[in-house]
Amino acid sequence: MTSRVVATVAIAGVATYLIRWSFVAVAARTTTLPMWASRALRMIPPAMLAALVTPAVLRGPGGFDPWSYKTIAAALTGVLMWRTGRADVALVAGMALATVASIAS
Amino acid sequence: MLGDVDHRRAVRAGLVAVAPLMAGVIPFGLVFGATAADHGFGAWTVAAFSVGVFAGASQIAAVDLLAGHAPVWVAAGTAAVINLRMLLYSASLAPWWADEPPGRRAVAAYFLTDQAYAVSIARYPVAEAGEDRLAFYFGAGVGLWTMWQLTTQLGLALGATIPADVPIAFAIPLVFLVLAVPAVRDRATAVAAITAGTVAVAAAGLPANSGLLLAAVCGITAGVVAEMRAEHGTVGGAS
Repeated sequence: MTSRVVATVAIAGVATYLIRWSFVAVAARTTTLPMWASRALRMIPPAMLAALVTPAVLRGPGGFDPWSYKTIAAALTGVLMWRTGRADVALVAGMALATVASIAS
Repeated sequence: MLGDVDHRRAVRAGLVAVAPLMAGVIPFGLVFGATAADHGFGAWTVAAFSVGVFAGASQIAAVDLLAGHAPVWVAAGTAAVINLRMLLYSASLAPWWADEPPGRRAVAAYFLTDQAYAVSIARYPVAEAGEDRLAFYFGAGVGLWTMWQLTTQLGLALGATIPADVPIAFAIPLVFLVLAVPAVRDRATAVAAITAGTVAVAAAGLPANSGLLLAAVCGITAGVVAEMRAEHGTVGGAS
């Protein structure tokens, strides 16, 4: 496993650094991107993050499983984050609900 | 001498600006450390990821995949895809750093995170003329980096003590959700998120985590189209 960790860190680390460095390396005073490119860039965070949330919440060991405690806990976290902007509060509340529900089931 | 004081003041301003956001970073670090502990990884693995990759969401996904016996290229590839959002941060900060020496910029790039980006891009348009932008950014970025190393190791140490009933793994999607909420600001970004979220569930069975990339591409495309449609409408367009 150690060699797998090293290989993963190396590849992911280099790739992530290149992403971070990409435009900064060029750093012209006015980075004029074509319109479609700047639109696409702006859509990356909401798309990526949503794609990471939904399968983990709405799926279980047996496949699509939308009616689980996970959905309710995630809804609580989402609403709290939306209303208060407090990541710590939202996370603790969601995890607390999930823990209670998980122990109860 | 006056220059040194200015640099230090800028560094401190960066630290002060990012301090409130640390409350959001700490749970990430603890979750990563605890996830690593849950999968039987140790301090060296945590340190390797936290230093080598230094990006919370992708670290969590990578260790999860490695523990699930995914091939290295899937774990590393997923991590890279998750970190693609930093392209936007790089593009957005680059013009502000245009006058900085390339070596300094190359070092600064390593410290780029959601939080360092957020405080810097908020500061630069309103900073005093002559304020050292990179010093401010390093104050935030290096402060975060240090906090990250500490909290990931702390998470590892605490993780072993968390009872088995607590669904630590569920913290992972919650953490992504907490990041996603502020990313959805208008109708177009909402379209992007809903599309990507839906495709991700539908395509979850695809091999090598390609469902994730497919979902991202669909979401980005849908968001771009939605935005173009909205603008076309308001320009009162006969097409």
